[in-house]
Formats: sequence, structure tokens, C-alpha cells
Amino acid sequence: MTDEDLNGGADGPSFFGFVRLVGGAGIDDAKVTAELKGGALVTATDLLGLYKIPGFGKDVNPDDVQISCAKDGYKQANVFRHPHTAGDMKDPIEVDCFLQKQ
Amino acid sequence: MIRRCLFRGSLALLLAAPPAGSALAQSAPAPAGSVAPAAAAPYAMSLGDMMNTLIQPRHAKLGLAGKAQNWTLAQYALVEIRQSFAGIVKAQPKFRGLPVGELVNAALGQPMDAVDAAIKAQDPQKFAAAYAQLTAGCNACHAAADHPYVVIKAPEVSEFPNQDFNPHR
Repeated sequence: MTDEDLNGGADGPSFFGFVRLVGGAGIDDAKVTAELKGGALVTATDLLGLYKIPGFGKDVNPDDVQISCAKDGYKQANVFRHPHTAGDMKDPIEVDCFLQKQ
Repeated sequence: MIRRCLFRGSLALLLAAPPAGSALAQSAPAPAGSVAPAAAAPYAMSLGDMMNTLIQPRHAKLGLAGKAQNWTLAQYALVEIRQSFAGIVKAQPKFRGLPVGELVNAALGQPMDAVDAAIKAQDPQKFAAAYAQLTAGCNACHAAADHPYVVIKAPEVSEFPNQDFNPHR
């Protein structure tokens, strides 16, 4: 029972979370972007509104990674980064992103 | 599986503790070269174990009860599923880094409420639709947890020959 799958075997931080309607359910097929200096990773949410971004390189500081979300007809309301216990870089970081209808 | 484990545990205990007064109960010296029996280790159920023993049978019973329009039994099965998930989330809050409680809520929260409403309305069509939604939620959760090959479906026949799912008033 390890986090290996989510981390993709990399040494750096990995991210996961839900894209939700403000005060509501998960949103499927929303675009999630993890941005840091020099580039960005883009993925999409599954049926539950869950996304997973496997591990970055070990030199990446998780605080430098900005998560955002988007979907046609919605605008981003806010992003909530769950408290993360420092120490083990292999612990995936949960960041939820909230959308509201335009 | 739980029963089998408990039985094995009891058997191990019996073998380890001979009846009082028996020759073996006396302080006979251990034969040279013998190895002391290892203490039984507690068995920690995995998430898969809990899904197979606590959730999957109750999902089937819920479907069978609803199909038979046994609304009292269906309500009971639904409550048992909710209680089982509450226990599972306490026993294993995370699976491969993912929060089990959040996954369960995202996948099954709304479908379980829909099943509950259909049971209360005693509406077979609504129940069938809500139960299909619940089953789809199970599979969405499996996919999210990287187990898309575990595909749950509505039971076609009862796998419980010793239980009558028809309503009895």
C-alpha cells in the first residue's frame, strides 16, 4: 500500500484532488493545469472530478507548483491546498479546485 | 473469510493450549531441537478484503431486495452499506495516497441518496435507475483507484440460497 502509483516512481512532489462545483459535486472532464517556472502539465478530471498529476522531479519545490482548473461554461472560483505534512516528498499533495457557472 | 480466519485462530489456540490435566499440560521438557510455535499474528484486512466481504454482498442484497420490492430489506441493506463504508474509511483512510472517504462521497454520495429516496417512495422504476447510478458509482470509484477491471453489475440471480428476498408481512 504505497503511493508509488500516484507518484509515478518520481522523487518529487505529486498532486491530486477534486475539481468541484462550488458547494457541489465533482466536475468531470475539467482541465487541470499544474504550472511551474518553465512549463506546465495538463490533465483532465475523471467521472468523479478527480485528477492525478504524477511526480515532478526531485528538485521541484511543491510550493512553486500552481494548480488551476477550467471548463467551458465555468470560471474558477478558488483553489484549496490541503495542509501537507512536510518531510516526505512522496506524499501526494491534495489540491482541490472549485468552479462556478458563468 | 472473517469466519475462516477466526476459526483458524481458534484452532491454533487449541493446538497451543492442551487441556488442563493432560499429560501435555504438565511441564514436560521440550524435545531437543524443537521450535516454539509462532504466536498468531492479527490479520489486517486490506481494502480489497473489506470491499469483498462488507460491500459487495450488501450491494447484491440491496439490488435483490429492491427487485423483489422488499423495501424494508432494501432500506436495511442500504443502511448497512453506509455503515460499512463509515467503518472502512476509519480503518483505511487512504488508498495509494487517495482519500477513501472523499472518493466514496464523490462516487456514491448522491447515488445512495437517490436509492434512499426511491426506497422511501417504494418506486421500482426509480429504484432501478438509482441502483444503476449507484453501481456506476462503484465502477467510477474503482477506475479512480486504478482498479478499472473490477466491474460491478446488478445481480441477475441471488447468490444467497439461504435468504428469501421477497417481502413478508
